[in-house]
Amino acid sequence: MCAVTVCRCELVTDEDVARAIDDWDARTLNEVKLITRAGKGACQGRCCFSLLRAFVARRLEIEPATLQAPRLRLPVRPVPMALLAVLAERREHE
Amino acid sequence: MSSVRNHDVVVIGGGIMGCSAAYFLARDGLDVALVERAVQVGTEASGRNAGGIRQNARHPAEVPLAMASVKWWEFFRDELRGAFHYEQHGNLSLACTEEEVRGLQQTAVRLRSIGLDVRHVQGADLKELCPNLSEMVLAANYCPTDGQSNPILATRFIARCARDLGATIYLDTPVVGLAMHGGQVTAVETAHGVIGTDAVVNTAGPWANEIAVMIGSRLPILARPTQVAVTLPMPPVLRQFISGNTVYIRPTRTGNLLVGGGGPWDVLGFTRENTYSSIRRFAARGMQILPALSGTSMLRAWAGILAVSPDRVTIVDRMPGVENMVVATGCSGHGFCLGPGAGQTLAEMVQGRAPSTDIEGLRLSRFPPGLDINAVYKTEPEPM
Repeated sequence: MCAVTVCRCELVTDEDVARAIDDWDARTLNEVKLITRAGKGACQGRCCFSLLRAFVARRLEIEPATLQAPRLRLPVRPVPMALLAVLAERREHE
Repeated sequence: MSSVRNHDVVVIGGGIMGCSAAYFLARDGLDVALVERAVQVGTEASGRNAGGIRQNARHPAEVPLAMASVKWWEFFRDELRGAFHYEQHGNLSLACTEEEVRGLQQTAVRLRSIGLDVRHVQGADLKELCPNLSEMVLAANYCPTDGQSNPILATRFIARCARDLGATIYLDTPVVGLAMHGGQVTAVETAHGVIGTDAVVNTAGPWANEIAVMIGSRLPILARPTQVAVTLPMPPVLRQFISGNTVYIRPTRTGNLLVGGGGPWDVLGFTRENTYSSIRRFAARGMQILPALSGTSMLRAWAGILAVSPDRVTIVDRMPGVENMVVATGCSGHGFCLGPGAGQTLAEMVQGRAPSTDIEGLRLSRFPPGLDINAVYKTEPEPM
C-alpha cells in the first residue's frame, strides 16, 4: 500500500507519523509536529491539522478529540524578512 | 511508581545534561533513575535551542568540555547510529568592527593553545568559505569540526540509549523535596512517591536553584528567556552556523534558516513568550550580515528559558555543603553542545573519580560565597 501524504507543505506521510510514535515515543500532536515537521510548513498546519490528528489518534488508539492542537507560533502567517527589518529601523528612529 | 523505590543515583531534570548523565551512569553499571517533570525529555531549553554543536567562540574555561562533547556527539552518531541529523559543516564567529577583529585574533590564539583547530580568516579566504556574507563582516574565526544537530531528536536519542542500558526514566514526575541525613541526600521526594538514593545529580537547568534551595543551599543562576525564529525554505545561501552582530543564523537540512540571538537581555524570569521587538531585530540584524535573508519570510518563532550564570560560563561541580550531590547548570545559552561531556563528568564525580575532562574553570568556587547574581547581572549582549 502506498504511503499517504499527511502534510503537503513538508511532504510528511502517514509512515513518518507512525515512526514518530513508534520509534521516538511521540504521544501528542505537538510532539509529532516537532519530530516529523508536519504542520511546520508554509501553512503552519492549517491544511493538515485534521488529517494529522486522525492519523495520530488511530495510531495511538485514542479518540481524535482528546488530542490538543499543536502550539500556534508568531507571526502566524509568513512575513517578509525585509518588511520586518524596515519595521525594526523605524522603531529605532522613533 | 510505587510509593518507595531505591536507585543508586537519581538524576533530576531530563534535558540534554540529565539524559547524558543517566547514560554515562548506566554505562558504568549503576542503577540510575532520571526524574523529569514534563511528559517527555527535552521539552525546555534542550528542545528549544538552535541545535548548534560548537567549540568555537567559547570562553576558554568551557573549551575542554566542548571538545570532549564533540567526540561524544561523533560517537553517538557514528558508533550508536543516532539519527539526530548531526552534521559538521563548521562554525563561523564573525567580526563586524576592527575591535571585534582584534578580539577574534586573540581568541584564536588562545583557543589554538588549548588544542582547538580554529582558523582566523579574512578577505578571499572568508569569501570562499561563506560567499554570501555582507561587506559589513570584516573577519571570522572558523572551526571546521563544529556543526549542528536536531536537538529534540538528539535529547530523545540519548535518553533512549540510557534506557537501553537499564536507566529508569520517570516522566511526569516533579521533585517536591529532598530528604537529608548526616550531610547527605538520602531520598528524592516526587509527586508520585519517594526514591531512596545514594547520590543526586542536579541537572534541572534554570530550575536547578529550586533544587538547591531544597537542601538549604543556593546557586548563582537566574532564568532568562531567549528567542529563535525560522524562515521559509530558500535556495542554499549558507553552509556554516554563523554568529555575529548580536544574532546567529543556522541553515537547516530542509532549506529553512534559523535566526536567533541572546536578547532581550532586560527581560528576566520563566517566560516563553516571543516579542515583536526581538523578531524584528532578528530580521534587521540578520540581513545586515547575510543580505540574502531579504529573499525569504519569517515563518515561525519560539522561545526557551536559559539558566544564566554570573560570568555566563557553565557551572559543573560538586554541590557545596552536601556530600553526595553534583550539579551542572548556568550554561547561559550555550549548553546544548556540552551535554555529553557534562554527563560524563557528572557520572565520574558521582563515583568519586577525578574528572577526565578539565573542568577547573567551571567550578562554583570561582564565585564569591553567597554571591547574589541579581546584583551583578548586566543587561547587555553576551560576547558571541
